[in-house]
Amino acid sequence: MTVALKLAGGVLTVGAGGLLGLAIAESYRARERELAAWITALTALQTEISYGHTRLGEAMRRAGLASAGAPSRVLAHAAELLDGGESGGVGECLATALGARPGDQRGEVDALVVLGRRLGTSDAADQARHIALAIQRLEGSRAKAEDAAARNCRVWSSIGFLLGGMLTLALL
Amino acid sequence: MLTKIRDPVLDQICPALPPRVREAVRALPDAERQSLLEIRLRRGRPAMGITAEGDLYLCCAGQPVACTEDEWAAAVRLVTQCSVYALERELSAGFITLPGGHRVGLVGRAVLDGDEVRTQTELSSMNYRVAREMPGVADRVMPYVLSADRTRVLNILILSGPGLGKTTLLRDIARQLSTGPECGSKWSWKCGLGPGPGWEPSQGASAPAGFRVGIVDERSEIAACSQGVPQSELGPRADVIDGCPKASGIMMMIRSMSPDVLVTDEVGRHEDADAIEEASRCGVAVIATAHALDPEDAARRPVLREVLARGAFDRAVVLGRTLGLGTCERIVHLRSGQDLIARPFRLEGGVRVGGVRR
Repeated sequence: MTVALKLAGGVLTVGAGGLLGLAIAESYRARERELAAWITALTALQTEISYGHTRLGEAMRRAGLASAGAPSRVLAHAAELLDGGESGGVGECLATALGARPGDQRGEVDALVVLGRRLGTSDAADQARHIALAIQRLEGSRAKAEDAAARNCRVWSSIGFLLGGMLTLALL
Repeated sequence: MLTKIRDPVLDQICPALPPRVREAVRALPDAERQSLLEIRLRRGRPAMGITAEGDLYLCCAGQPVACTEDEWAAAVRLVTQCSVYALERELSAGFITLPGGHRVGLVGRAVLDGDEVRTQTELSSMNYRVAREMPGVADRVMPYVLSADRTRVLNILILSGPGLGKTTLLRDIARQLSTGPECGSKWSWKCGLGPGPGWEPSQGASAPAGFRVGIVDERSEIAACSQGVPQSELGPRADVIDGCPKASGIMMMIRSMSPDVLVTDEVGRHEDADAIEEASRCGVAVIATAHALDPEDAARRPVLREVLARGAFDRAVVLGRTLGLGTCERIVHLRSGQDLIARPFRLEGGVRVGGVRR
Protein backbone atom coordinates (compact mmCIF):
# COMPACT_ATOMS: atom_id res chain seq x y z
CA MET A 1 0.00 0.00 0.00
CA THR A 2 2.77 2.39 1.03
CA VAL A 3 4.80 1.47 -2.04
CA ALA A 4 1.76 2.04 -4.26
CA LEU A 5 1.19 5.47 -2.68
CA LYS A 6 4.86 6.38 -3.10
CA LEU A 7 4.73 5.23 -6.72
CA ALA A 8 1.58 7.29 -7.37
CA GLY A 9 3.15 10.34 -5.68
CA GLY A 10 6.29 9.85 -7.74
CA VAL A 11 4.30 9.67 -10.99
CA LEU A 12 2.36 12.80 -10.02
CA THR A 13 5.56 14.70 -9.17
CA VAL A 14 7.25 13.70 -12.41
CA GLY A 15 4.05 14.57 -14.34
CA ALA A 16 3.74 17.95 -12.63
CA GLY A 17 7.38 18.77 -13.24
CA GLY A 18 7.07 17.70 -16.86
CA LEU A 19 3.94 19.79 -17.41
CA LEU A 20 5.62 22.81 -15.85
CA GLY A 21 8.57 22.37 -18.18
CA LEU A 22 6.27 21.98 -21.20
CA ALA A 23 4.34 25.13 -20.18
CA ILE A 24 7.56 27.13 -19.98
CA ALA A 25 8.67 25.75 -23.37
CA GLU A 26 5.26 26.64 -24.82
CA SER A 27 5.56 30.20 -23.49
CA TYR A 28 8.70 30.62 -25.61
CA ARG A 29 6.85 29.35 -28.70
CA ALA A 30 3.81 31.54 -27.90
CA ARG A 31 6.03 34.61 -27.69
CA GLU A 32 7.44 33.79 -31.12
CA ARG A 33 3.91 33.27 -32.52
CA GLU A 34 2.64 36.52 -30.99
CA LEU A 35 5.43 38.54 -32.53
CA ALA A 36 4.77 36.87 -35.90
CA ALA A 37 1.07 37.77 -35.52
CA TRP A 38 2.01 41.40 -34.79
CA ILE A 39 4.14 41.49 -37.93
CA THR A 40 1.22 40.11 -39.95
CA ALA A 41 -1.14 42.68 -38.39
CA LEU A 42 1.19 45.60 -39.10
CA THR A 43 1.72 44.41 -42.68
CA ALA A 44 -2.07 44.34 -43.13
CA LEU A 45 -2.30 47.80 -41.54
CA GLN A 46 0.34 49.07 -43.97
CA THR A 47 -1.69 47.71 -46.90
CA GLU A 48 -4.92 49.28 -45.62
CA ILE A 49 -3.22 52.65 -45.17
CA SER A 50 -1.02 52.72 -48.27
CA TYR A 51 -3.35 51.17 -50.82
CA GLY A 52 -6.83 51.30 -49.32
CA HIS A 53 -6.50 54.76 -47.72
CA THR A 54 -8.89 53.29 -45.14
CA ARG A 55 -9.65 55.45 -42.10
CA LEU A 56 -7.42 54.47 -39.21
CA GLY A 57 -10.12 53.03 -36.92
CA GLU A 58 -11.42 50.74 -39.65
CA ALA A 59 -7.88 49.97 -40.86
CA MET A 60 -6.90 48.82 -37.35
CA ARG A 61 -10.01 46.68 -37.10
CA ARG A 62 -9.29 45.03 -40.47
CA ALA A 63 -5.62 44.53 -39.62
CA GLY A 64 -6.75 42.86 -36.40
CA LEU A 65 -8.96 40.49 -38.38
CA ALA A 66 -6.01 39.57 -40.61
CA SER A 67 -4.08 38.28 -37.61
CA ALA A 68 -4.92 36.16 -34.60
CA GLY A 69 -4.59 36.22 -30.84
CA ALA A 70 -3.43 39.28 -28.95
CA PRO A 71 -2.96 41.64 -31.95
CA SER A 72 -6.53 41.02 -33.03
CA ARG A 73 -7.91 41.89 -29.60
CA VAL A 74 -5.59 44.83 -29.03
CA LEU A 75 -6.23 46.46 -32.40
CA ALA A 76 -10.01 45.99 -32.10
CA HIS A 77 -9.92 47.59 -28.62
CA ALA A 78 -7.68 50.44 -29.81
CA ALA A 79 -10.02 51.09 -32.77
CA GLU A 80 -12.95 51.22 -30.36
CA LEU A 81 -11.15 53.74 -28.14
CA LEU A 82 -10.16 55.78 -31.19
CA ASP A 83 -13.72 55.90 -32.53
CA GLY A 84 -14.94 56.99 -29.10
CA GLY A 85 -12.76 60.07 -29.60
CA GLU A 86 -12.21 60.64 -25.89
CA SER A 87 -8.98 58.72 -25.34
CA GLY A 88 -6.45 61.10 -26.78
CA GLY A 89 -4.23 60.19 -29.71
CA VAL A 90 -3.55 56.88 -31.38
CA GLY A 91 -0.49 56.31 -29.18
CA GLU A 92 -2.59 56.60 -26.02
CA CYS A 93 -5.30 54.33 -27.46
CA LEU A 94 -2.76 51.66 -28.38
CA ALA A 95 -1.00 51.96 -25.02
CA THR A 96 -4.33 51.57 -23.20
CA ALA A 97 -5.34 48.61 -25.37
CA LEU A 98 -1.93 46.97 -24.83
CA GLY A 99 -2.13 47.56 -21.09
CA ALA A 100 1.29 49.20 -21.34
CA ARG A 101 3.03 50.30 -18.16
CA PRO A 102 6.08 52.56 -17.81
CA GLY A 103 9.23 50.50 -18.23
CA ASP A 104 7.36 47.68 -19.97
CA GLN A 105 9.95 45.14 -21.14
CA ARG A 106 7.89 43.70 -24.01
CA GLY A 107 9.65 44.83 -27.20
CA GLU A 108 6.46 45.08 -29.22
CA VAL A 109 4.84 47.48 -26.73
CA ASP A 110 7.52 50.09 -27.18
CA ALA A 111 7.54 49.65 -30.97
CA LEU A 112 3.73 49.95 -31.13
CA VAL A 113 3.43 52.93 -28.78
CA VAL A 114 6.13 54.78 -30.73
CA LEU A 115 4.35 53.88 -33.98
CA GLY A 116 1.02 54.97 -32.48
CA ARG A 117 2.34 58.48 -31.90
CA ARG A 118 2.95 58.81 -35.66
CA LEU A 119 -0.04 56.87 -37.02
CA GLY A 120 -2.57 58.95 -38.90
CA THR A 121 -0.57 62.17 -38.72
CA SER A 122 1.06 62.24 -42.14
CA ASP A 123 0.69 61.15 -45.75
CA ALA A 124 0.49 57.52 -46.87
CA ALA A 125 4.16 57.25 -47.91
CA ASP A 126 5.33 58.55 -44.54
CA GLN A 127 2.94 56.23 -42.73
CA ALA A 128 4.27 53.27 -44.70
CA ARG A 129 7.82 54.19 -43.62
CA HIS A 130 6.83 54.39 -39.95
CA ILE A 131 5.04 51.04 -40.11
CA ALA A 132 7.98 49.45 -41.93
CA LEU A 133 10.25 50.69 -39.16
CA ALA A 134 7.99 49.17 -36.49
CA ILE A 135 7.90 45.90 -38.45
CA GLN A 136 11.70 45.95 -38.60
CA ARG A 137 11.87 46.34 -34.81
CA LEU A 138 9.41 43.49 -34.37
CA GLU A 139 11.42 41.32 -36.76
CA GLY A 140 14.42 41.94 -34.50
CA SER A 141 12.38 40.93 -31.45
CA ARG A 142 11.12 37.87 -33.28
CA ALA A 143 14.64 36.81 -34.23
CA LYS A 144 15.62 37.04 -30.55
CA ALA A 145 12.47 35.14 -29.54
CA GLU A 146 13.26 32.45 -32.12
CA ASP A 147 16.79 32.11 -30.75
CA ALA A 148 15.46 31.90 -27.21
CA ALA A 149 12.86 29.34 -28.26
CA ALA A 150 15.42 27.25 -30.11
CA ARG A 151 17.73 27.32 -27.10
CA ASN A 152 15.17 26.80 -24.37
CA CYS A 153 12.19 24.85 -25.72
CA ARG A 154 13.88 21.46 -25.96
CA VAL A 155 15.68 22.03 -22.64
CA TRP A 156 12.51 22.93 -20.76
CA SER A 157 10.54 20.13 -22.40
CA SER A 158 12.89 17.57 -20.85
CA ILE A 159 14.14 19.45 -17.81
CA GLY A 160 10.70 19.50 -16.26
CA PHE A 161 10.48 15.70 -16.27
CA LEU A 162 14.06 15.46 -15.10
CA LEU A 163 13.49 17.83 -12.16
CA GLY A 164 10.30 15.95 -11.30
CA GLY A 165 12.23 12.67 -11.32
CA MET A 166 15.02 14.09 -9.17
CA LEU A 167 12.55 15.48 -6.68
CA THR A 168 10.81 12.10 -6.54
CA LEU A 169 14.10 10.35 -5.88
CA ALA A 170 15.01 12.87 -3.21
CA LEU A 171 11.68 12.40 -1.46
CA LEU A 172 11.76 8.62 -1.56
CA MET B 1 -32.41 55.85 -45.06
CA LEU B 2 -31.87 59.01 -43.06
CA THR B 3 -31.14 58.69 -39.38
CA LYS B 4 -33.29 60.91 -37.18
CA ILE B 5 -31.00 63.52 -35.73
CA ARG B 6 -32.11 65.45 -32.63
CA ASP B 7 -29.99 68.50 -33.30
CA PRO B 8 -27.43 68.35 -36.12
CA VAL B 9 -25.09 70.86 -34.52
CA LEU B 10 -25.14 68.91 -31.25
CA ASP B 11 -25.13 65.45 -32.76
CA GLN B 12 -22.99 65.78 -35.87
CA ILE B 13 -20.74 68.80 -35.46
CA CYS B 14 -20.07 68.80 -31.70
CA PRO B 15 -18.32 65.39 -31.74
CA ALA B 16 -15.74 66.91 -34.11
CA LEU B 17 -15.06 69.92 -31.86
CA PRO B 18 -12.42 70.03 -29.10
CA PRO B 19 -13.94 69.53 -25.62
CA ARG B 20 -14.16 73.13 -24.34
CA VAL B 21 -15.57 74.46 -27.63
CA ARG B 22 -18.05 71.58 -27.61
CA GLU B 23 -19.15 72.59 -24.11
CA ALA B 24 -19.49 76.22 -25.21
CA VAL B 25 -21.68 75.25 -28.18
CA ARG B 26 -23.78 72.97 -25.98
CA ALA B 27 -24.25 75.83 -23.52
CA LEU B 28 -25.70 78.16 -26.17
CA PRO B 29 -29.44 78.81 -26.00
CA ASP B 30 -31.34 76.57 -28.45
CA ALA B 31 -32.36 79.43 -30.73
CA GLU B 32 -28.81 80.72 -31.01
CA ARG B 33 -27.40 77.27 -31.62
CA GLN B 34 -29.96 76.57 -34.33
CA SER B 35 -29.11 79.81 -36.09
CA LEU B 36 -25.41 78.94 -36.29
CA LEU B 37 -24.13 79.02 -39.85
CA GLU B 38 -20.49 78.41 -39.04
CA ILE B 39 -18.17 77.71 -36.14
CA ARG B 40 -14.70 79.13 -36.65
CA LEU B 41 -11.62 77.95 -34.77
CA ARG B 42 -8.29 79.72 -35.10
CA ARG B 43 -5.15 78.45 -33.46
CA GLY B 44 -4.61 80.29 -30.19
CA ARG B 45 -7.45 82.72 -30.83
CA PRO B 46 -11.04 82.77 -29.54
CA ALA B 47 -13.51 80.38 -31.15
CA MET B 48 -16.45 82.13 -32.83
CA GLY B 49 -19.94 81.22 -33.91
CA ILE B 50 -21.28 82.87 -37.05
CA THR B 51 -24.99 83.55 -37.42
CA ALA B 52 -27.01 85.56 -39.94
CA GLU B 53 -27.33 88.25 -37.25
CA GLY B 54 -23.60 88.48 -36.57
CA ASP B 55 -20.63 86.81 -34.91
CA LEU B 56 -20.46 85.64 -31.31
CA TYR B 57 -17.65 84.42 -29.09
CA LEU B 58 -18.07 80.88 -27.81
CA CYS B 59 -17.58 81.08 -24.05
CA CYS B 60 -16.82 78.54 -21.38
CA ALA B 61 -17.13 79.67 -17.73
CA GLY B 62 -17.78 83.19 -18.96
CA GLN B 63 -14.54 83.42 -20.93
CA PRO B 64 -14.11 83.15 -24.73
CA VAL B 65 -12.56 79.78 -25.53
CA ALA B 66 -9.17 80.03 -27.23
CA CYS B 67 -7.83 76.64 -28.32
CA THR B 68 -4.64 75.56 -26.59
CA GLU B 69 -2.08 73.52 -28.55
CA ASP B 70 -3.46 70.28 -27.09
CA GLU B 71 -7.02 71.28 -27.93
CA TRP B 72 -5.97 72.24 -31.43
CA ALA B 73 -4.29 68.85 -31.87
CA ALA B 74 -7.49 67.21 -30.60
CA ALA B 75 -9.59 69.22 -33.07
CA VAL B 76 -7.36 68.17 -35.99
CA ARG B 77 -7.50 64.58 -34.77
CA LEU B 78 -11.29 64.63 -34.48
CA VAL B 79 -11.85 66.27 -37.87
CA THR B 80 -9.39 64.01 -39.69
CA GLN B 81 -10.37 60.94 -37.64
CA CYS B 82 -6.63 60.36 -37.14
CA SER B 83 -6.38 59.60 -40.86
CA VAL B 84 -4.50 62.44 -42.52
CA TYR B 85 -3.17 59.97 -45.12
CA ALA B 86 -6.73 59.22 -46.26
CA LEU B 87 -7.57 62.91 -46.64
CA GLU B 88 -4.72 64.23 -48.75
CA ARG B 89 -7.05 65.18 -51.58
CA GLU B 90 -9.45 66.89 -49.17
CA LEU B 91 -6.60 68.70 -47.42
CA SER B 92 -5.20 69.89 -50.74
CA ALA B 93 -8.70 71.10 -51.67
CA GLY B 94 -9.02 72.75 -48.26
CA PHE B 95 -12.04 71.02 -46.77
CA ILE B 96 -13.22 67.79 -45.20
CA THR B 97 -16.83 66.62 -45.24
CA LEU B 98 -18.22 65.40 -41.91
CA PRO B 99 -21.07 62.91 -41.59
CA GLY B 100 -24.25 64.87 -42.24
CA GLY B 101 -22.66 66.80 -45.10
CA HIS B 102 -21.22 69.49 -42.85
CA ARG B 103 -17.98 70.78 -44.29
CA VAL B 104 -14.91 71.80 -42.38
CA GLY B 105 -12.74 74.28 -44.26
CA LEU B 106 -9.06 74.03 -43.31
CA VAL B 107 -6.08 76.23 -43.97
CA GLY B 108 -2.48 75.90 -42.88
CA ARG B 109 0.87 75.55 -44.59
CA ALA B 110 0.60 74.21 -48.11
CA VAL B 111 2.90 71.37 -49.19
CA LEU B 112 3.62 71.82 -52.89
CA ASP B 113 4.36 69.20 -55.49
CA GLY B 114 5.54 71.29 -58.43
CA ASP B 115 2.83 73.91 -58.84
CA GLU B 116 0.13 71.74 -57.27
CA VAL B 117 -0.85 71.79 -53.59
CA ARG B 118 -0.26 68.19 -52.51
CA THR B 119 -1.56 68.59 -48.96
CA GLN B 120 -1.54 70.99 -46.00
CA THR B 121 0.27 70.75 -42.70
CA GLU B 122 0.40 72.98 -39.60
CA LEU B 123 -3.28 73.82 -39.86
CA SER B 124 -4.06 77.24 -38.45
CA SER B 125 -7.80 77.80 -38.99
CA MET B 126 -10.88 75.63 -39.25
CA ASN B 127 -14.35 76.63 -40.37
CA TYR B 128 -17.17 74.20 -39.55
CA ARG B 129 -20.00 75.03 -41.97
CA VAL B 130 -23.45 73.77 -41.02
CA ALA B 131 -24.88 72.02 -44.11
CA ARG B 132 -28.30 73.27 -45.13
CA GLU B 133 -30.42 71.71 -47.79
CA MET B 134 -33.61 73.42 -48.85
CA PRO B 135 -35.95 70.85 -50.35
CA GLY B 136 -38.37 72.60 -52.68
CA VAL B 137 -36.13 75.60 -53.29
CA ALA B 138 -36.11 74.74 -57.01
CA ASP B 139 -39.93 74.49 -57.30
CA ARG B 140 -40.34 77.80 -59.13
CA VAL B 141 -37.33 77.19 -61.36
CA MET B 142 -38.25 73.66 -62.44
CA PRO B 143 -40.66 74.69 -65.23
CA TYR B 144 -37.73 76.50 -66.86
CA VAL B 145 -35.41 73.50 -66.44
CA LEU B 146 -37.71 71.26 -68.49
CA SER B 147 -38.81 71.57 -72.10
CA ALA B 148 -42.32 72.89 -72.81
CA ASP B 149 -43.76 69.37 -72.94
CA ARG B 150 -41.84 68.44 -69.76
CA THR B 151 -40.29 65.36 -71.37
CA ARG B 152 -36.78 66.70 -71.79
CA VAL B 153 -34.32 68.45 -69.52
CA LEU B 154 -32.70 71.57 -70.95
CA ASN B 155 -29.06 72.56 -70.57
CA ILE B 156 -29.00 75.02 -67.70
CA LEU B 157 -26.22 77.23 -66.39
CA ILE B 158 -26.75 78.68 -62.91
CA LEU B 159 -24.85 81.92 -62.39
CA SER B 160 -24.15 83.98 -59.29
CA GLY B 161 -21.42 85.32 -57.07
CA PRO B 162 -20.13 83.21 -54.16
CA GLY B 163 -22.48 82.27 -51.32
CA LEU B 164 -25.74 83.11 -53.06
CA GLY B 165 -27.18 79.60 -53.26
CA LYS B 166 -25.99 78.12 -56.56
CA THR B 167 -25.16 74.74 -55.09
CA THR B 168 -28.31 74.66 -52.94
CA LEU B 169 -30.42 75.28 -56.03
CA LEU B 170 -28.41 72.81 -58.13
CA ARG B 171 -28.81 70.11 -55.48
CA ASP B 172 -32.56 70.56 -55.31
CA ILE B 173 -32.91 70.53 -59.10
CA ALA B 174 -30.96 67.25 -59.13
CA ARG B 175 -33.18 65.86 -56.36
CA GLN B 176 -36.41 66.85 -58.09
CA LEU B 177 -35.32 65.45 -61.48
CA SER B 178 -34.20 62.22 -59.84
CA THR B 179 -37.29 61.85 -57.68
CA GLY B 180 -39.90 62.81 -60.23
CA PRO B 181 -43.12 64.58 -59.35
CA GLU B 182 -43.80 64.71 -55.64
CA CYS B 183 -47.18 64.81 -53.92
CA GLY B 184 -48.08 68.42 -53.26
CA SER B 185 -45.34 69.78 -55.52
CA LYS B 186 -46.09 73.21 -56.96
CA TRP B 187 -45.40 72.11 -60.51
CA SER B 188 -46.48 69.10 -62.52
CA TRP B 189 -44.94 66.64 -64.91
CA LYS B 190 -46.43 65.44 -68.13
CA CYS B 191 -43.98 62.61 -68.61
CA GLY B 192 -45.22 59.31 -67.22
CA LEU B 193 -47.60 58.78 -64.35
CA GLY B 194 -46.86 60.48 -61.10
CA PRO B 195 -47.85 59.02 -57.76
CA GLY B 196 -51.29 59.70 -56.40
CA PRO B 197 -51.93 61.16 -52.96
CA GLY B 198 -50.64 58.98 -50.19
CA TRP B 199 -48.40 57.00 -52.57
CA GLU B 200 -45.77 54.99 -50.78
CA PRO B 201 -43.12 52.85 -52.42
CA SER B 202 -43.68 49.13 -52.07
CA GLN B 203 -42.07 46.05 -53.51
CA GLY B 204 -42.71 45.87 -57.25
CA ALA B 205 -44.55 49.20 -57.33
CA SER B 206 -43.64 51.34 -60.32
CA ALA B 207 -41.59 54.39 -59.43
CA PRO B 208 -42.85 57.84 -60.43
CA ALA B 209 -41.37 59.20 -63.62
CA GLY B 210 -38.02 60.87 -63.24
CA PHE B 211 -34.63 61.19 -64.90
CA ARG B 212 -31.37 59.35 -64.35
CA VAL B 213 -29.18 62.04 -62.84
CA GLY B 214 -25.40 61.71 -62.94
CA ILE B 215 -23.71 63.99 -60.42
CA VAL B 216 -20.05 64.81 -60.98
CA ASP B 217 -19.17 66.19 -57.58
CA GLU B 218 -15.57 67.32 -57.85
CA ARG B 219 -15.59 69.19 -54.53
CA SER B 220 -18.03 66.97 -52.62
CA GLU B 221 -20.38 69.93 -52.28
CA ILE B 222 -23.46 68.67 -54.09
CA ALA B 223 -23.88 65.20 -52.61
CA ALA B 224 -21.58 65.77 -49.60
CA CYS B 225 -20.42 62.16 -49.71
CA SER B 226 -18.93 60.91 -46.49
CA GLN B 227 -17.15 57.57 -46.85
CA GLY B 228 -19.03 56.82 -50.05
CA VAL B 229 -22.50 57.69 -48.79
CA PRO B 230 -24.21 60.84 -50.13
CA GLN B 231 -25.30 62.88 -47.13
CA SER B 232 -27.65 65.06 -49.19
CA GLU B 233 -31.08 63.91 -50.27
CA LEU B 234 -30.74 63.31 -54.01
CA GLY B 235 -33.64 61.05 -54.89
CA PRO B 236 -33.65 57.47 -56.13
CA ARG B 237 -32.07 57.93 -59.55
CA ALA B 238 -28.96 59.90 -58.71
CA ASP B 239 -25.51 58.41 -59.24
CA VAL B 240 -22.58 60.29 -57.77
CA ILE B 241 -18.94 60.30 -58.78
CA ASP B 242 -17.20 61.98 -55.89
CA GLY B 243 -13.96 63.94 -55.88
CA CYS B 244 -13.26 63.33 -59.55
CA PRO B 245 -12.10 66.13 -61.86
CA LYS B 246 -15.13 67.32 -63.84
CA ALA B 247 -13.83 66.57 -67.32
CA SER B 248 -12.88 62.96 -66.51
CA GLY B 249 -15.93 62.50 -64.29
CA ILE B 250 -18.36 63.63 -66.98
CA MET B 251 -16.98 61.14 -69.50
CA MET B 252 -16.83 58.33 -66.93
CA MET B 253 -20.40 59.02 -65.90
CA ILE B 254 -21.65 58.99 -69.50
CA ARG B 255 -19.86 55.71 -70.25
CA SER B 256 -20.71 53.93 -67.04
CA MET B 257 -24.14 55.19 -65.92
CA SER B 258 -25.80 56.48 -69.10
CA PRO B 259 -27.46 59.42 -67.35
CA ASP B 260 -30.26 61.54 -68.80
CA VAL B 261 -28.90 64.58 -67.03
CA LEU B 262 -25.42 65.50 -65.81
CA VAL B 263 -25.13 67.81 -62.84
CA THR B 264 -21.87 69.47 -61.95
CA ASP B 265 -20.60 72.44 -60.03
CA GLU B 266 -18.45 75.42 -60.96
CA VAL B 267 -17.39 75.15 -64.58
CA GLY B 268 -14.11 76.99 -64.94
CA ARG B 269 -11.53 75.13 -67.00
CA HIS B 270 -11.13 74.57 -70.73
CA GLU B 271 -11.36 70.81 -70.32
CA ASP B 272 -14.68 71.27 -68.47
CA ALA B 273 -16.01 73.15 -71.48
CA ASP B 274 -14.89 70.35 -73.82
CA ALA B 275 -16.48 67.67 -71.64
CA ILE B 276 -19.75 69.60 -71.37
CA GLU B 277 -19.89 70.00 -75.14
CA GLU B 278 -19.15 66.31 -75.57
CA ALA B 279 -21.98 65.46 -73.15
CA SER B 280 -24.38 67.67 -75.10
CA ARG B 281 -23.39 65.87 -78.31
CA CYS B 282 -24.12 62.54 -76.60
CA GLY B 283 -27.67 63.73 -75.96
CA VAL B 284 -27.14 64.18 -72.23
CA ALA B 285 -28.49 67.38 -70.70
CA VAL B 286 -26.09 69.32 -68.51
CA ILE B 287 -26.95 71.46 -65.50
CA ALA B 288 -23.96 73.33 -64.12
CA THR B 289 -23.05 76.35 -62.05
CA ALA B 290 -20.45 79.05 -62.59
CA HIS B 291 -19.20 82.15 -60.83
CA ALA B 292 -20.54 85.15 -62.78
CA LEU B 293 -23.02 87.89 -62.04
CA ASP B 294 -25.08 87.34 -65.21
CA PRO B 295 -24.66 85.98 -68.78
CA GLU B 296 -23.00 89.21 -69.90
CA ASP B 297 -20.46 88.92 -67.08
CA ALA B 298 -19.98 85.22 -67.92
CA ALA B 299 -19.22 86.14 -71.52
CA ARG B 300 -16.28 88.19 -70.27
CA ARG B 301 -14.63 85.09 -68.77
CA PRO B 302 -12.68 83.12 -71.40
CA VAL B 303 -13.90 79.62 -70.51
CA LEU B 304 -17.53 80.60 -69.99
CA ARG B 305 -17.45 82.65 -73.19
CA GLU B 306 -16.24 79.55 -75.01
CA VAL B 307 -18.98 77.39 -73.43
CA LEU B 308 -21.69 79.92 -74.24
CA ALA B 309 -20.39 80.46 -77.79
CA ARG B 310 -20.56 76.74 -78.46
CA GLY B 311 -24.24 76.83 -77.48
CA ALA B 312 -23.74 74.21 -74.79
CA PHE B 313 -26.43 75.77 -72.57
CA ASP B 314 -30.04 76.67 -73.39
CA ARG B 315 -30.86 78.81 -70.39
CA ALA B 316 -29.11 80.70 -67.61
CA VAL B 317 -30.58 81.07 -64.13
CA VAL B 318 -29.13 84.13 -62.42
CA LEU B 319 -29.16 84.34 -58.62
CA GLY B 320 -28.66 87.48 -56.57
CA ARG B 321 -29.91 89.10 -53.38
CA THR B 322 -32.19 91.96 -54.44
CA LEU B 323 -35.04 90.35 -52.47
CA GLY B 324 -32.66 88.78 -49.94
CA LEU B 325 -30.38 85.74 -50.03
CA GLY B 326 -31.59 83.24 -52.65
CA THR B 327 -33.29 85.56 -55.12
CA CYS B 328 -33.77 84.33 -58.69
CA GLU B 329 -32.97 87.55 -60.53
CA ARG B 330 -33.31 86.40 -64.10
CA ILE B 331 -33.87 83.35 -66.25
CA VAL B 332 -32.40 84.02 -69.65
CA HIS B 333 -32.92 82.19 -72.94
CA LEU B 334 -29.28 82.20 -74.03
CA ARG B 335 -29.75 81.94 -77.79
CA SER B 336 -32.18 84.86 -78.04
CA GLY B 337 -31.04 86.72 -74.93
CA GLN B 338 -34.69 87.01 -73.90
CA ASP B 339 -35.61 87.23 -70.21
CA LEU B 340 -38.13 84.51 -69.38
CA ILE B 341 -39.34 85.98 -66.07
CA ALA B 342 -40.85 89.42 -65.65
CA ARG B 343 -39.45 90.15 -62.17
CA PRO B 344 -37.16 88.56 -59.58
CA PHE B 345 -38.60 86.08 -57.09
CA ARG B 346 -37.39 84.47 -53.88
CA LEU B 347 -36.39 80.81 -53.92
CA GLU B 348 -37.98 79.27 -50.87
CA GLY B 349 -38.01 75.79 -49.45
CA GLY B 350 -38.05 73.88 -46.17
CA VAL B 351 -34.72 73.89 -44.42
CA ARG B 352 -33.13 70.52 -43.87
CA VAL B 353 -29.98 70.59 -41.81
CA GLY B 354 -27.74 67.54 -41.89
CA GLY B 355 -30.60 65.08 -42.28
CA VAL B 356 -33.43 66.87 -40.45
CA ARG B 357 -36.22 68.87 -42.03
CA ARG B 358 -37.09 71.94 -40.00
